[in-house]
Amino acid sequence: MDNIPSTEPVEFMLNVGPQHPATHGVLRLLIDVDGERISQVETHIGYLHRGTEKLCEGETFSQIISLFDRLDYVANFNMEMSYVMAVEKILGLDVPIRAEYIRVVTCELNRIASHLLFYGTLGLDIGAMTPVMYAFREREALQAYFESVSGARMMHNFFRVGGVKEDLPEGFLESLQSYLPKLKQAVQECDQLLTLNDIFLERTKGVGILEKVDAVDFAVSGPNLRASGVEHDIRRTEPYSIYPNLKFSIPTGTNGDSWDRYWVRMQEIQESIFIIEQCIDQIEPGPISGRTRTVIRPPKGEAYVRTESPRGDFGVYLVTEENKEQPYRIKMRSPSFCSLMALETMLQGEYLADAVTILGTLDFIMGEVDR
Amino acid sequence: MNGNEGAEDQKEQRREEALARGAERRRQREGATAKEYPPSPLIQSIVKTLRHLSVDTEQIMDEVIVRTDPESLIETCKLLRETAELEFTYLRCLSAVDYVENIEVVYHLSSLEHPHKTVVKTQVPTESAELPSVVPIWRGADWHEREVHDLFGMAFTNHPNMSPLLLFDGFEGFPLRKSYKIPEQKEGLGG
Amino acid sequence: MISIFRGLITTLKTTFRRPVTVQYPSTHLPLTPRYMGFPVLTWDFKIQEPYCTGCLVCARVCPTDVITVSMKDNPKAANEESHRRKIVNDFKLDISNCILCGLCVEFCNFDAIIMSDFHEEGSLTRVEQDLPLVTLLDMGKEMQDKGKFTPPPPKKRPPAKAKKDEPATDADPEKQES
Ligand code: SF4
Ligand code: SF4
Repeated sequence: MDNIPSTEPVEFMLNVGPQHPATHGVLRLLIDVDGERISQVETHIGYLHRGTEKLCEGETFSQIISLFDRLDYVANFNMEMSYVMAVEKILGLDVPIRAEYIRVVTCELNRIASHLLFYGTLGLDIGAMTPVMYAFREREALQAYFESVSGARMMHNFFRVGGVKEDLPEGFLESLQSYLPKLKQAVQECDQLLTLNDIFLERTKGVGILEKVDAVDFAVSGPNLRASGVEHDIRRTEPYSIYPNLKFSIPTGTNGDSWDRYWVRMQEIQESIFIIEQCIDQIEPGPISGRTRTVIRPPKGEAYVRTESPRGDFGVYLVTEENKEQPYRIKMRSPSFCSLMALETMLQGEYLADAVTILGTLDFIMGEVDR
Repeated sequence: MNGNEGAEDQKEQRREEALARGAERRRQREGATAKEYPPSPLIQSIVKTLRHLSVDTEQIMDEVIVRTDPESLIETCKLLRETAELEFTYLRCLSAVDYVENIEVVYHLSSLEHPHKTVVKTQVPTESAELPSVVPIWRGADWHEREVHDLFGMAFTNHPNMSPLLLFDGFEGFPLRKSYKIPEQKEGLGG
Repeated sequence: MISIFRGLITTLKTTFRRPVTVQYPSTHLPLTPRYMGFPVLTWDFKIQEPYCTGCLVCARVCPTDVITVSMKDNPKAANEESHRRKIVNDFKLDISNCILCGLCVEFCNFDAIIMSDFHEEGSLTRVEQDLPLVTLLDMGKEMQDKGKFTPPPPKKRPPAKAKKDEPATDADPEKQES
């Protein structure tokens, strides 16, 4: 009689990660499952904590740019953007208009690359092998563009306080202009593969709903917030750089489920392409950087600058001292960090099999969460 | 000996003055002037809302800064969030800065309904670093406070779960305090 | 159902495209002109000495502290063959820690260091990852043969400011290069 298992419901704890392909990095989840439903989740982060904030305090202002590349290693240009803008704000420095255009073009290209990566890995997460091939084909082309601009495929170290490192290479804009229609077509292909696919809809519609109240309360930002129906985009609410001159719409979802988060990102790719097209039309020759500064010694002060990175509101809080080459304190407010905070609420009551979908659609990068 | 030290001091002072002058000249040459930001209308409404509390309000660049003492922090935050014309529902960022004697905790707030933003600052002495938690007001402060607890050794009372977040269990010291020294790196394999 | 077929048609269409992938170790993708591989040192063919004067700027600006430099008096300066009174004595670059940021190149005042195309410098031991001066110069010469480096333009220094023992005309032998 003893070896008959009891029929009493037993809570079972499942350990996911930190080395797990579905967690996109080193995230560890302790999931309590009740049957197939998740009853409670505990998130553990910090496995990629490199102490960037402490490191920054010992580096000079020009060296720090290369550290920011390594936060969100999928959207490096966007990370650099926030930092250089923070230093410029303290210095009270104006950036030449051409440099601003170059920054925006590279940032938007990077946003497309980042969203394509999201598209590919989401496919993989829910068991579709094909999308990642399509996504990476285009990402490869985009990275070739990055390489021709900055000399590196990922860690660009391209933005400078007061401008950018180099002008765009010759023929870059023409080549980009002829490539954009191809990119549009490729995105359309991606759309056909996944967006309205019955199985995909089945797996994502109504899964992992993030309520508007929760999203705002947890300070979730970017596409995740917009999918919950809040029209909030830093490029629009606190316009920086040349975004006031550019037309673009802000796609928003209605339900805040996984499909909405996916859809918002796919629409954002289209918007980014539109922005780049406008930039190519508007950009004019001119200087790309103020005086080259070898040594930067900002006055005493502090600045908080937020920009819209592909994952949302990326903020840099910079405190400086008078006549120091190093910052006194840098705090990075990373969007993925806040998205992950909402994960515990989102996963409650979902099927265990959907956990991977939800993780995939949150689109976090652990390098930025842990810093 | 003394004379030497005095000379050293003077030298140091002269050097610093020269540096300051150089920085000033450089700024002028590059046309970098402190930008003029229009005064924010937000100040009045904040002052009106918080008039019974001991807070200082001022504008630095484009941010309205509210300095408060730890006792009235919770009250301030509650009012900022709940007053109809302010509605700071979105906690942009929560961070801390170590000023050696004091630790300053900085709350960056913004509103989704209105296009305004503010900064709440409060200072506590480093030896008795303790503040009430704002998690009941913004749930999004949860991990930020745990992070500050990890890296600055700041205790947040009433916080639901104050376990280490970024650092591993048993980590000694508070890395982001200025007194913390980064340990020497070991060279070679296994280091 | 229809949507699944639509996806299948997309797949079918791409089946007959030319592949975009290459077989890596046998085929390399072309590098762009700005590609940043490991930094290497350049060689002044005119005077047969390195451009580098060992001024330590790159060592100080490197975020990961991988450069070690020392300086010595230039023997060629004594008999007026070279305008460099100091020259690099020893240079070591630990490429296992170099993050290819390009700051050293940007800050060097003598165009003595450039980003190369070399990016496959794996080795079995750590000692081999410390590139000495000779190797760096050899790599630099290879890059210069490929035309990756244009000698710095002559610096236009007003004669009044030139040092007494260095007449203004002799101060910039590179003038003749251009
Ligand atoms: S490479 Fe350039 S910066 Fe570095 S020591 Fe030589 S001359 Fe100086
Ligand atoms: S490329 Fe960067 S990391 Fe490498 S040696 Fe130069 S400065 Fe140092």
